Amino acid sequence: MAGGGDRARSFNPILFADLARKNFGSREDTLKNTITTLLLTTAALAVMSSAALAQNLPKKIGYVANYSTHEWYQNVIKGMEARATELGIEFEMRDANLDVARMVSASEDFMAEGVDVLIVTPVNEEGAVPLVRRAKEDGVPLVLEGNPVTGMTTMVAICDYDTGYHAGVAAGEYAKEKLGGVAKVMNVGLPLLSATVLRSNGFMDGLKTILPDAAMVHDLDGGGNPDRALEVSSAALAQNGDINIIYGINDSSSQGGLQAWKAAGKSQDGLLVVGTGGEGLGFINMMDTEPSYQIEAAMFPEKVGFTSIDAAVKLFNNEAVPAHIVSPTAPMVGTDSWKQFYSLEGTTRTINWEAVNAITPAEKCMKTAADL
Amino acid sequence: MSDISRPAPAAGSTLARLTQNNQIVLLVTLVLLCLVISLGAPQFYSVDNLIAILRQCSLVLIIAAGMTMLLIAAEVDLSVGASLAFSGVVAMDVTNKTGSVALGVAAAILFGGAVGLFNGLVVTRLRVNSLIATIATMMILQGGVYLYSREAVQNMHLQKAFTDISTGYVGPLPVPVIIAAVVVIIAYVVLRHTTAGRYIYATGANERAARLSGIRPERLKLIVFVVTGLLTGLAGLILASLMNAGQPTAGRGFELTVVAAVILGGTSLTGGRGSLLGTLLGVLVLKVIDNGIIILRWDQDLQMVIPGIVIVLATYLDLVRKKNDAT
Amino acid sequence: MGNLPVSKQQMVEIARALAHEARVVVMDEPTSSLTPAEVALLFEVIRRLTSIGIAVLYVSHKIDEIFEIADTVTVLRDGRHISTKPIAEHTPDSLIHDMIGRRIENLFPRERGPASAETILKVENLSTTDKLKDVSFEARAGEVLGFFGLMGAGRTELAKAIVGFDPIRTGRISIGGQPLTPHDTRTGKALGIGLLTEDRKSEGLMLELPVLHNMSLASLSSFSSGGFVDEGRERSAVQEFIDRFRVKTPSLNRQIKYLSGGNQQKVLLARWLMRGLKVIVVDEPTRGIDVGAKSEIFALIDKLAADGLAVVMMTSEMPELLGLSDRIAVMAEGRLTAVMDRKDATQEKVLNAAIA
Repeated sequence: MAGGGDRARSFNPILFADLARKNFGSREDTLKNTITTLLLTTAALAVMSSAALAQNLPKKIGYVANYSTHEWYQNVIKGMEARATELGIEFEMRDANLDVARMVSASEDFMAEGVDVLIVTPVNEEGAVPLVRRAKEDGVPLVLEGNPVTGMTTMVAICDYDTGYHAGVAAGEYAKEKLGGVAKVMNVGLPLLSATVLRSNGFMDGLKTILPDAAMVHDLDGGGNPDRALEVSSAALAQNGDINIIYGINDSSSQGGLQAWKAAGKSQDGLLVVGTGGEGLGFINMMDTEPSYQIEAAMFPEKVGFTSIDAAVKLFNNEAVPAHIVSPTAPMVGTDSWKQFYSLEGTTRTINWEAVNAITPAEKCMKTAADL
Repeated sequence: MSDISRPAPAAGSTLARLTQNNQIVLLVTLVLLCLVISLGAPQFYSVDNLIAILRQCSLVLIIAAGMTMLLIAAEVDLSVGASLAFSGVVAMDVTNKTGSVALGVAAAILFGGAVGLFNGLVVTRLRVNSLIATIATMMILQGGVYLYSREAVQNMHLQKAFTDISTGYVGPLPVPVIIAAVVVIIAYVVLRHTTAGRYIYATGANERAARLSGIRPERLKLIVFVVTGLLTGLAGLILASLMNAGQPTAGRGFELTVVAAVILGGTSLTGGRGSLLGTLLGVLVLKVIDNGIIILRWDQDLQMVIPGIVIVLATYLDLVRKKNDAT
Repeated sequence: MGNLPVSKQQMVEIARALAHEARVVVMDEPTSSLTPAEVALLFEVIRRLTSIGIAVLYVSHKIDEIFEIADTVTVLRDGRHISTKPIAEHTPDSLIHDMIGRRIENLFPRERGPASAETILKVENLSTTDKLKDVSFEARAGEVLGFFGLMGAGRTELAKAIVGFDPIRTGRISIGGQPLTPHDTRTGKALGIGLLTEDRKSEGLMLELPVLHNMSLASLSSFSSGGFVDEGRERSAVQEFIDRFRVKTPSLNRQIKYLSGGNQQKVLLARWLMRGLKVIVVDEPTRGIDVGAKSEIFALIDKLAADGLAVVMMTSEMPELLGLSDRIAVMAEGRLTAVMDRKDATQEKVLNAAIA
């Protein structure tokens, strides 16, 4: 978890989501020790959704969110609710609202009320360790979402590096075809968080598999928020006229980069913008209206919720699960590509479960914070 | 010192004479900065970059014009960052819902003005210290904007006029730069050449003396709060246009940039002293530093560190100058 | 300690100095906010200190005090040492001569004629919530109406109430026949009443601003059209007053904080006179001003009355009161206790009324 200084700068909720979602750094090496377990359960994972139906189902699952008002978690909760409803499980969410004490008390309340499985997004590791121990002692199965904690049974989370990497590969193919094989990247990044650094690294590594000469011309700190991203991008674009790919570590960053491009009066011909996250309506709007916004590294928060419920069911049945259950991500490529995974009605987007469930998640992350 | 008076005959050393005028110090700093940066990165002088700098300056300047008046009147508004974001959200949302850019523009500016009115009433009627009152307003707005809209309000209306507010040009100049120039010129004239401007200085310099002289300081302050609010709404509109979205998360820390620029420009936090010319230079210095760090590819964390050092130095010089002035 | 009266605070300070076995005690203008009784007490203490071998360095600009308490007197002027002599070798005139570098023939010159019969300021049954009780008086064009009272008698409160600065509870104030409603300084200014405050620093001066802006503050609207200030007209008007009042300043742009107290006071007086007033209220007009400038202020006040203004002067200085006033009003505990013509007034009569 990031230290105090990081917390201070992570006041912005978008930043916070990144920070909280996946940044537990060195804990990842426990993963390596569980490769065997992982391999054994691969088959089960692949057919998880159908298998779940055949299992004994918990009556009630409780979820303690760390910050439920954020867009990302709103969608995670949506996914949990959808899956729980589908399976006929009673589901209830309580919000810790970034407060460790509230996280612990909400979890204890759930356990006292006798939920069959508990899902928790840890506010921070220190506060969650005793909680993990307590759940074990009480025999309540516990699934962690987003961040690992010492002593945990399992965690559901996406792979940041992989997300960037696959988007990078897609961008490489796009550049090869449409941009004459040239890739001069402006990274609207966030060096503060390991999760966002992993995305940027993954993007460049993926891009280079297709275009080995691809270069990161400018590595910016856009603060993860749109106005700052716009400001720093303006300067970078003014300096480097040859930039032709803008990568943003979240949708606000890519939007800031793209708007800086537009503000400079440049045509979007010959430009590729790649965003990351896909948690709101912003990327949908940009894909629809901005000709250069062609790739979105989608993280499907709803699917994270979905996967968490399935993991809960498995734990309830005492099935073996890996320490890190990967929730799948995938690049959407092309103007209408988002329609494959989402439908939009007014300002409400609905996930297309069939399409998202068809994505095969990786067995393990290619790189984690431990590799940085 | 303040541009309202020609400097008194210089006394003391050459350094004292040179530092006599805060604006000259800033101007020299600015020129040196440009020189150093352009040595390291010749692209600094590219038209694209200069326009990028001016555009960034314009947002800060529009609000800083109001903030300068407020600080001169010995008040401060720390809610401008939050109000900036909120009015941007309002601008986009209203334009989406009505399909009218004019209504969106009006809504944003009026929203900002209403925030200013609220601040002004709390400060002048309830007599809450403006630092505290506007921090409270900032909190209200930061929370309130999420009640209004959970997520960024996207541009659904696709009106060209709306995006032109930030990315359009009149001749070679971007629209926001022209707006900022108009705002600054008007504010300059008001502060320097009108009775209202004089009364603002008087109120900040000595509120009781101003009242004894038949001025109504509360009313004056209320008006300046509203003006700052209106200008913040205008800036919020431009920001929403620039980002092509109403972003609830925008504007964090913006109030500090504005206040820092105004103070760097020689305006006193205790009121009664300051000038718009100084503010203009202060904004330019801060934004050139910001730009230079990126262009020189220095660590971006310096974007916070260096302005901090510059403000300490500028304030110190100001003290030295005052001391020389006294002898 | 903050709640103690100033006189008691001073005693505590002196006791503290003695507790540290001070051999020399320095007192800087110690009587500026004391009542006559308290001054007497302080002097008693000073005499006792000197009798036990402690030196007292007593800084004051009040000549009568010096003659009462000092053994040796050192005169400083403009930061320079002028003279050090035993007090016996001084007369008041010689001391004043050393202080201001010239001789003052008459501290209270009277060049104005008799006051007119026209009542300009009329105050009826004025009360405020905290101090004033049922105060009624009139002031006529061309007269100096002196208000005397001990500390806390309500002089300053009265001054602030009649110009509209402080709120009143009951009563009527009219200037030139027009009632002061609404009761605020804006209306007061419009009707032609202004206050020269006793507290220059916190209520009069805009220390950081130039002499120009300080002087023109109340009359700015007369130099402006459509809200725009005509700085040329403003400057020439200000310059005229600078010359007339002999204000010593290197330029109109000099920050007023660098001027001496006397010059600051002249600027503040000019602030009102530039506007053309009917009534000017002056509250302790010579507080913190050296003897030389004092005589100039007295001459200015005389001149104002000669020009037909009603001057309402609040003072705690008996010589000033007796030297300048046409009529004398005495206050005690928020009430008006006596109003008398100058020719009927004596120090005893005034003091008796002030103590009543």
